[in-house]
Amino acid sequence: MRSKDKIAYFYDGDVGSVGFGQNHPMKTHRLCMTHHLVLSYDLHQKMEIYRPHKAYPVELAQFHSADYVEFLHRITPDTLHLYASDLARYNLGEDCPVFDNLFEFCQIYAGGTIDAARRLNNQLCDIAINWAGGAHHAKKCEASGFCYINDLVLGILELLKHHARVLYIDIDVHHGDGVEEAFYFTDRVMTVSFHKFGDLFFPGTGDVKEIGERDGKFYAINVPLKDGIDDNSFTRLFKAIISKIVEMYQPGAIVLQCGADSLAGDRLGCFNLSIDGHAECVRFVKKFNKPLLVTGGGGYTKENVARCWTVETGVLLDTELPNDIPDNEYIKYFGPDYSLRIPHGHIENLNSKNYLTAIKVQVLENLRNIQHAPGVQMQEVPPDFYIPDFDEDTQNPDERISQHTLDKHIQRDDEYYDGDNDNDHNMEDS
Amino acid sequence: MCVEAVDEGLNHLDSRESGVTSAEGEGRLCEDGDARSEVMPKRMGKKNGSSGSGKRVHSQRSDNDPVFLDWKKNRCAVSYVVDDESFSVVGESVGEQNLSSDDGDSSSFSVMLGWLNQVAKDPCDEKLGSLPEWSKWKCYGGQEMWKQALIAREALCIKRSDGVDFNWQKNPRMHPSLYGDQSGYSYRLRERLKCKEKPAQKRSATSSESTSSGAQRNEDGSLSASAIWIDENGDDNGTSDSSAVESLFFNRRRQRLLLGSRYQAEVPKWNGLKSESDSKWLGTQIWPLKKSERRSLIERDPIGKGRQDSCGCVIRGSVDCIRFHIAEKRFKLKVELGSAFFFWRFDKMGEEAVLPWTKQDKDKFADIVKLNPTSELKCFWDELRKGFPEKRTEALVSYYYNVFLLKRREHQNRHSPFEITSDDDESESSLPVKWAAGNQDDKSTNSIFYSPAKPKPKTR
Repeated sequence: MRSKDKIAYFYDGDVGSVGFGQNHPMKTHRLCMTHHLVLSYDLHQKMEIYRPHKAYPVELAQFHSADYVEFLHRITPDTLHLYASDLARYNLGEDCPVFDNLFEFCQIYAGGTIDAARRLNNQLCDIAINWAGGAHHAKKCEASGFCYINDLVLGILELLKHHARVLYIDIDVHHGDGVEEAFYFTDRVMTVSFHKFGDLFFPGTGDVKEIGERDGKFYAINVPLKDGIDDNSFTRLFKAIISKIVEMYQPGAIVLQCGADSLAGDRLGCFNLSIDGHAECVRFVKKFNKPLLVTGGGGYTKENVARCWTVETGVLLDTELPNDIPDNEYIKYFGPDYSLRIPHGHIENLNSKNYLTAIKVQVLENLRNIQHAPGVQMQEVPPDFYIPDFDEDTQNPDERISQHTLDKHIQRDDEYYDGDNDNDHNMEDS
Repeated sequence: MCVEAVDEGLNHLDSRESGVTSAEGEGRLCEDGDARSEVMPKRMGKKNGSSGSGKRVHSQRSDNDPVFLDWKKNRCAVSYVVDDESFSVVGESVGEQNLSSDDGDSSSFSVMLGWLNQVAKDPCDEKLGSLPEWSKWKCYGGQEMWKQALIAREALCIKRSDGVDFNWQKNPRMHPSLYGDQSGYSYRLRERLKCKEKPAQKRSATSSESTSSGAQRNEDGSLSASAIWIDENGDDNGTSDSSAVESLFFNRRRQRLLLGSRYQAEVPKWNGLKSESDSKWLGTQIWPLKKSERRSLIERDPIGKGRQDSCGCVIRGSVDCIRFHIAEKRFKLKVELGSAFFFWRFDKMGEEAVLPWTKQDKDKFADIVKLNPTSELKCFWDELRKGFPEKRTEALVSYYYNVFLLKRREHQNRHSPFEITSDDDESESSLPVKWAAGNQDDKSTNSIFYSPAKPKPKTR
């Protein structure tokens, strides 16, 4: 691992005061809380903090359609009633309400991600953070799921000016459909999303069979999960898949969307991840030492969002943070425990070992189809994380099972290779 | 075909939840059984009021007589039921459940409509029954009123998807009452129904190929909704799949990726040469401060230091102790951050932000929030804006998060540490009504608010 990474952190003081208003669960105030918490731990001493420029409409139109950007620019709560059909066309009004300073808000968070990408391109930093970004649902011509402008797509397009391949990783509880859709036809961006799927959970896309089309075939990866996945299952799956992807795809840069609604106790989410589990993914991606752009995303229990992104800022700065939250203006929000960690979730984990193994196998199978980046040898060995898929719970612990029988259990039809050669030394991660 | 579709819809109701109206969301609404019946029908009531006529239809009902309703009179009350043909479809599918009258096929439908109307008026009426948890819906047959209501709605959805009026399902939405009364924008069903021209024109003009992939059954029997529609002309295409079952999914807006020039980004080919990445806009450095501005603190905390539990205060942990330490930290931060303190709007944060507010204003603010609890689906933000026309929205938001809510949390931390509610969509009282639970009715499957019921986690 190289010596200290240089971190650029983007924040605009106005972003938190924007009110989605009404009774909307998206609270931009969580960004203020995050920033405050980061400062209360003095993490600002270890990084550079920038105020992003407000992205110009022409920059937003690098991805979005000009008419959509123009509409966003012009619409206000006072003129809503004049544009009912346009509102419907652009999917504005309910999940994505029109509020005062909406466009400015978009400019700030999109500007943050674009500036972050530029700083990375110009090698002015190794890691860039924009917690206000991560609007992964926004589409080219419409808003969706609280997302109006897709800052991630804009940031990736910026990174593509300097890198042949960019890897996009999404650990928000919702499928990163906006980003996947934008790059569905290209192999220059590989999109990987870990999300809840099924039960008509928003947005409804993200099945493992969505793998891309045309040039982009096999360059979209989806890991659909069920309710209640816990730290162990999630991080194992994450590490297994991401390490294989990085090895095969060899991206020049990585974009990581850290939606915090995959945490336990989130108001819209349904996973059981603790903050440590969530942060472990960030830690793992950082270790690849690629230019890294980190954004926020979902997260609707604002105290937990602030906790999570503060811990992850610490991870990116290689700083372990003590559990007791220091005195700060918002400390009352974190009571009565005033602790940085949150209790584990209690939702039943519906992700069986069989299910997770099946998903992993399918994803890795799809991955084999992509062309290796030039210079990377094809390694025909299965990863050492392969889990023999027999349910230990159904085994009678009192019954001695012969080695032969055990071997039979392990040797499944969908196992990569015959025999015992299951170890891939190259997959050893630090 | 419509009848078949209804049957299919019925099957699918068993295995999954469905979207739009308020009738079905109850099972997932609240984890508290008592609150369950309250939330849903009030929305029905609101829907009645907002569907255009503004009239409430009153029907005579005695304890003994079955409910009979002239559905024509109630058209405005249940405005998503639009035409006779829909009624007949539903009547056929549930016609065997002739519950109350000797009339023809429409009677059971009338009974169901009457039930809906009663639910809207008095959700707590025990005679109306209650909606079981959604996972148990498949255990119930068509004799249940709520089941009939769901089936009727599904039939309408399917019919809409096959018919010309595609746009109705194209834009499923959350019920606007979830946001309270939005100024300047009201829920207009008829407006939506009128918005037909564009998709109809596009559909007729396009000669698009469509492929679907991945529409298979999941483990729990629900259809996988991952259909990919390729539209060569880049238009948002309706389904050309003849299966009514799949159309139920694929006509819901955006449950599929759309492909075409209006959806994908333009990604240039990589030619090995790095193109100009604008070095002009890289962000303005706020921290570290410029050399001229830098100050050195006499005492600086080590990076990553946590809270110190010991202090010299007379009564540690008292209100005054906490206030003192927060003020102390604030002062240190102000000295250290210099101009950054103002760039980051820290001067407007915390209880210092209360300074421009008079006692009268503060009391008025508290009253408005109290009188418009979100548990009653009111939106206090609108009332706040009306009540404080001289103050900007940012000032109201700032006061709310930096003063009002903090005070509430302070109170909760001391007096009710196991019932923490720090969001405006939870009631002022100690009974938490989670957003996801409390407002999940009337949900389109394409709303991010839609979240299947999850067992209530143990509270701290």
